[in-house]
Amino acid sequence: MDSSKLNIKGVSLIESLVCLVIVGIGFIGVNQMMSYATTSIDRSIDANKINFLSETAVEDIIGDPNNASNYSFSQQCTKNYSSSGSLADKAKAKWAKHFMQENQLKINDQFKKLPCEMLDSKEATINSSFERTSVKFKFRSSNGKKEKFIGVVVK
Amino acid sequence: MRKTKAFSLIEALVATVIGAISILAITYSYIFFNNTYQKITDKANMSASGRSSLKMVAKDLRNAGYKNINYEDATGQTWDRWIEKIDAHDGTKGDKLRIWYNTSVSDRLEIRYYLKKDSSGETYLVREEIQNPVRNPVKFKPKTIVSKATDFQVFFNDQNGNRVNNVTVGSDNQSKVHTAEVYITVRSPNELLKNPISFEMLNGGTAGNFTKRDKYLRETFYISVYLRNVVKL
Repeated sequence: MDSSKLNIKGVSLIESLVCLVIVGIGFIGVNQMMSYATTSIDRSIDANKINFLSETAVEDIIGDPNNASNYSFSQQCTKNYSSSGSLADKAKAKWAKHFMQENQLKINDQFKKLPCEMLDSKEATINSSFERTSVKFKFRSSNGKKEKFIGVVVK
Repeated sequence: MRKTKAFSLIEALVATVIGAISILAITYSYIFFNNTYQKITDKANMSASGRSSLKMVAKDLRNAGYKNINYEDATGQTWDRWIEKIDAHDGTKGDKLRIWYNTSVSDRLEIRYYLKKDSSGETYLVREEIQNPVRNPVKFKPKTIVSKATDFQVFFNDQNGNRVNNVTVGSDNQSKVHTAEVYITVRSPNELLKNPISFEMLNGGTAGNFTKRDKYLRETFYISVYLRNVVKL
């Protein structure tokens, strides 16, 4: 047998190990992508809920246009509104409660809260002039890096 | 020559070990990717169901009580109904919501939302349409809008933000309604949790009223709608 042929007979142990490492790195990459996809879909569900909550807030103001100026609202990660006399106060207490997802779904005796970081916030700003009153509901997430808002003219 | 004829025992053992590790890693990865894919797909379904159903309910609620400007009461067509809620409908823990509004000068549309039970006892949310419900009803087959819905709750508030109960056709409370709050709890189509956990569907109601313990995931979607047409009646 020709000795040069013996050298190209198969894959060496080192070569196969290198292959395994490369394939392993590929798997780790895909694994990371899967984890990212899972957190992304969770964020998407939360964003969905937040959109509806923002819509809720705007609807409440549309329902009480003459007192729109009473609906200024600002909340970070703790609930700072409680129910009291006026409709605006009750509405703001309701929003505060729903932004904490209280009174909805309890999992293992704990309310499932929306994620909230230090610079995240929910704000309702009312601009009133002689001609019109407009509302802007702003929601900051991802530690204040992402901002979404919904705005309407209520009167 | 003899030295290069076959694998040595050590080489064969090393190859077997590497092969076994590779197969294990691939099997584990396959199971992990498959589970994760299932989880992502189910969560995406839950999110889409919650979003589309709430949008649909909100749109109908905004139309509730819409009365055409030229509408005239004819025989058997008294304008006596625009919104109604029935608690714990048909053996489920969910509510039944009924909404009426004009679609033309003479015709009305009735929309019903309620939970139905399938053969296994699991509930799903349906939307049913009835054309001209007072004079000459034409019923359409209920359409499933959330195939895995655990709970559907509706609450009404008056213009002072206080809860209004017993909102039914013929009662004065129908006219007191100012806003409606809707809660829909959506369940994942497949079991996604390793161990069962307990869920309590409070959804604006009383604690301890509705609990489940299983391996499904659940999410509650909520919206509050100003009933602009009911308020104008």
